[in-house]
Amino acid sequence: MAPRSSLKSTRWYRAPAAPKPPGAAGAVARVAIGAAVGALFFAGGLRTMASVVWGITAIVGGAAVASPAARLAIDRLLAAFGSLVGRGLAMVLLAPVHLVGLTLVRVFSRIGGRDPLRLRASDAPSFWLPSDADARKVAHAGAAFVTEARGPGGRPFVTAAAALAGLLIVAEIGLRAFGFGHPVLYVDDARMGYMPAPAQAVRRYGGAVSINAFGMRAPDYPAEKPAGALRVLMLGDSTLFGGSYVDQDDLYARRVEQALRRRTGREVQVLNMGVNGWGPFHEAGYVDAFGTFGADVAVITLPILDVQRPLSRLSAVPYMPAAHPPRLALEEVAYHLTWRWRERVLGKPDAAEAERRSEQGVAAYVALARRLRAAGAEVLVEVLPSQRAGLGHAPEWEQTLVDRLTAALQAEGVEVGFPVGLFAARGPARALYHDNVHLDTLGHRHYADYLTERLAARSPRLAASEGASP
Amino acid sequence: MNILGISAYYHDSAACLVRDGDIIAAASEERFSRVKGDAGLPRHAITWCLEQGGVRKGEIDLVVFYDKPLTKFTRLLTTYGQVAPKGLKSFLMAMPVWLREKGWAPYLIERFLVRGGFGRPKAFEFSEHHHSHAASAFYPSPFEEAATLTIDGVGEWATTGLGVGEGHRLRMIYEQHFPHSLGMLYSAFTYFTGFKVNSGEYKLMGLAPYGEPRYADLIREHLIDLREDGSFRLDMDYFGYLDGLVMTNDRFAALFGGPARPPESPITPREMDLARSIQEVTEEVMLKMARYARAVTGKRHLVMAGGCALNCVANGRIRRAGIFDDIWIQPAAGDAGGALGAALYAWHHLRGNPRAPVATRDRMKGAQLGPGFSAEAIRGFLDANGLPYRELSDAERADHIASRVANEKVVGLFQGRMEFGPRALCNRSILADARSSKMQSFLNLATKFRESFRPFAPVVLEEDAPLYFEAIHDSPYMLLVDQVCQGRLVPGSGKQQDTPLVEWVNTPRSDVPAITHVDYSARIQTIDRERNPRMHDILTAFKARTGHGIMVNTSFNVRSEPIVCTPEDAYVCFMRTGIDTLILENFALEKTAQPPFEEEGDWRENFALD
Repeated sequence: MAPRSSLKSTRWYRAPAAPKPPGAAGAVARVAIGAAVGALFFAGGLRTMASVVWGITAIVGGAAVASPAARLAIDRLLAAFGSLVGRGLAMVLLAPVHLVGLTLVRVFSRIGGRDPLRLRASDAPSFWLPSDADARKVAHAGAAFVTEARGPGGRPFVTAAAALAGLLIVAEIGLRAFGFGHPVLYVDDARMGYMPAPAQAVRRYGGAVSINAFGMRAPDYPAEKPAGALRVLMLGDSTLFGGSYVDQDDLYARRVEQALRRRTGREVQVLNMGVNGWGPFHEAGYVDAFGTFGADVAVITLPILDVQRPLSRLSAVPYMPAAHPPRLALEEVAYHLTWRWRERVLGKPDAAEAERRSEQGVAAYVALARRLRAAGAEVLVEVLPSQRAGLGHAPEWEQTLVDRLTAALQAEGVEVGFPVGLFAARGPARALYHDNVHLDTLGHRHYADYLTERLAARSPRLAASEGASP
Repeated sequence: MNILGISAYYHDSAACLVRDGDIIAAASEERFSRVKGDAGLPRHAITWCLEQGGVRKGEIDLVVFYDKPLTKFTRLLTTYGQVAPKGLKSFLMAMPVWLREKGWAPYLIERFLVRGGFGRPKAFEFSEHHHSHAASAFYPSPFEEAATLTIDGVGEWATTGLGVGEGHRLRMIYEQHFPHSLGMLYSAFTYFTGFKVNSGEYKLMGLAPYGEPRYADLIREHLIDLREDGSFRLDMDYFGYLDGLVMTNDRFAALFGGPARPPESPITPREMDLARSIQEVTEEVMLKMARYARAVTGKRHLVMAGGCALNCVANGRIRRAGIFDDIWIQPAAGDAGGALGAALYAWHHLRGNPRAPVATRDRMKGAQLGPGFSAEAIRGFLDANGLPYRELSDAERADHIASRVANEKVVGLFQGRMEFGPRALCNRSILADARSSKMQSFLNLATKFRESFRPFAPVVLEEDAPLYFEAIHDSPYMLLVDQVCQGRLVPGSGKQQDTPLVEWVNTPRSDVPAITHVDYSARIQTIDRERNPRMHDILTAFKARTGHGIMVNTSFNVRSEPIVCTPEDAYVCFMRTGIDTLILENFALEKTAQPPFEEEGDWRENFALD
């Protein structure tokens, strides 16, 4: 600013309009905003924060409303603060753009042989460049951007290849961060089709999955039941396995184990032999191969459509073999996508085939129940309701199949549970179910409560003993 | 059709109003805001130009911006994309400004016009940077056909443009692209010798005659790969402006035997030699470009613009080389002139309008395009402040001024419309006696408060120019340097590198020592009666008294201050400095008669050193 002199200044020419000083309306608006922000904090339970905000609003806002000089000073302070924050934010946001984005541009530029600044030495007889056609310049006079014709040079295919490679590298790193490239691996088996390879520990989407020596998603229990312990063998599919998005300790099998321990006051071991894609034939094969581990109670869990699952080998399911683990996360993703595409091409079985499978599946569940009972275990069958059924109303086809299975098993003296409406009013559907049949973490919790009661009610061995908590 | 041309957001913002091809008004923003090289939106200049033209709301037919901002932005991003991860600091400084302001130039301009009561313009266009320069040089020139040569730091991508103007058409033929820039090369040496980039280049030019071209070969060998056609490539390994915040780097310093000179520190022979060396190389490049322009276009005339066209020494060599029959250089050759060029480009080239016949030797109106002030306004100011003055008649005015100068008084002259461009052309000038041997040091130290080595320029009657200068006799805009006539020189007064600088500077070298540089050169302004009759009268009166139709003409300002714009600016500068007499149109004020002038604070702190 020029030092003030003793001269009376003269207005020599029209000066541009000076910015208006801040008005009271702006100050009132700020007070209103401050009050609203405080109210939000208050409604969110942050009462101290709300008090702080209201206090600042009252002091600063009141001064701004009352005094133009204070208003100006506050505006300047806010502007200075905003400028400081802006500079900081700019650094935080722009630095990665430069350090990562523009560095990649430089790398790809080098690979592609481009030299837009002509930095490389040259023996060219002239460095003059032809100017763009005047017609184009005239045509684009209204544009703030010159659209010039691209000149020759560069290695576009190499650049494209390098860019693709870069994208794949970024994708690989990203997928590995989510646990891809290190999936649960499976072994093929003639009797049970396939099972998880023993002794694995992986993480997927942040959740832990560990497989014990017998292919179970359970702790490393010995084959022989310890003296005084109670064992529950759970056989099922992915709904019992839980999916990698449910942590090991949140599975309903694990929760049932904890609940039964509290209820009985004894060592209770729940053996979670749920395997993705299994049906009755796989489960029967597993029991044939490994026995029941001395289980006191055997629970067969299934969503009802498992009755239509034939015995499939590893080649027919989208799970990766232990003999050929993926070397890249991208390989695992490609494997799955290929299988999904294949599944789409093959299509679902027709009604006649579905009926044939249902008949065989029901018979297989009856045979499995007999086999387990013959091994000395009490047998329970629990049909996990679909999302619709779980939330209140079972579709007709689901109820029909459940009725059919129930009738067959009841003839063997085996009770079948099918808790329609179990999850009604227990929480939002997306927290209960991961999809149409698989439970999410909240669903596992409620289902565990249900199963615990069922087991306690149906199995005398698992009823609470004296002194134990229910 | 009212066309408003605007240059802004880089350096030297300006505005210009052209109406049906006639230049109505043009002014640099710095003259109003009093901020040297003001790069912001030229609010004052725009407002004044529109007021001067009587443009009311809704009457702006077209606004033309002097370059393509988004193309400039892509050039920036491309540059960073070639040096990353280096250049982070520079990137973090540049991007917020672009994202917040420069990239939104048309919207900010429109918003300003609407809020200023001028309404939204009917159309908005963008001229390319070097087209703006070329248009500013060709259309006001007296030539119907000419080769155009524009050389500067950088526009969007082009750093040099070679084109041809024919009638109302203007087209570019060849370009050279960033970072290979003669302007940047010269600015690198400006920085390295301790002067401020974008304002200290002419100081480097003035320092050159004190040195020897010891480093010229080093420059040719390491820094620039020059071809016979004037095209060149710079070795960016020596420069810091791609990825850093300064023009040169450690390799550059190692090449020239040490770090850059800190600003305001004593100038050593190294800086003098560097100045001379880069000046020699620059002249060589420009000469080769000029020859190539002649060969490619076949035109007999050359017009020039761009910041490098302010290198008067190089311009003088091109003129004397006789490559062209004549050359014409835009007085506002820097970015400010881009505002004028953009408007003219839109009128003539984009809309096919023919050029008006030449009225006064060229179409530039003597570059007198800025504000002028009436006698009533000036009298009102003087009376309101009780400042003693004498009102001169038209008949006595010229002789009064001439007598003051002849008595070795320093006269501040404020008359007519302000010049457009960096040179003062006797409407906003300080005049002094060129015959005086002490005038150079007195003006530098007591009036301009600037470095003692800097020479002063002469203003001479056009008809007397052959008496004083060897070859150049027509230089109305002070853009050509020539040698003082041999017969006027003091023998043995040449190179004195072993002499202390002050002593060397003050050694009389001719009978007009105040305007004779150490190499006997001078940056000439010739005055003809058509373009500046009042100054012609002053020089004629001076000649009648002294026998010499030549004076010192230096700009009416102190170092780092923009040239004065209003009578008030002139009075304040008058009172702060060693000026003896102030002439405001027909009003004469004597320093000895003025009341004490009081200011709060020290005005020297107001202007950042350049």
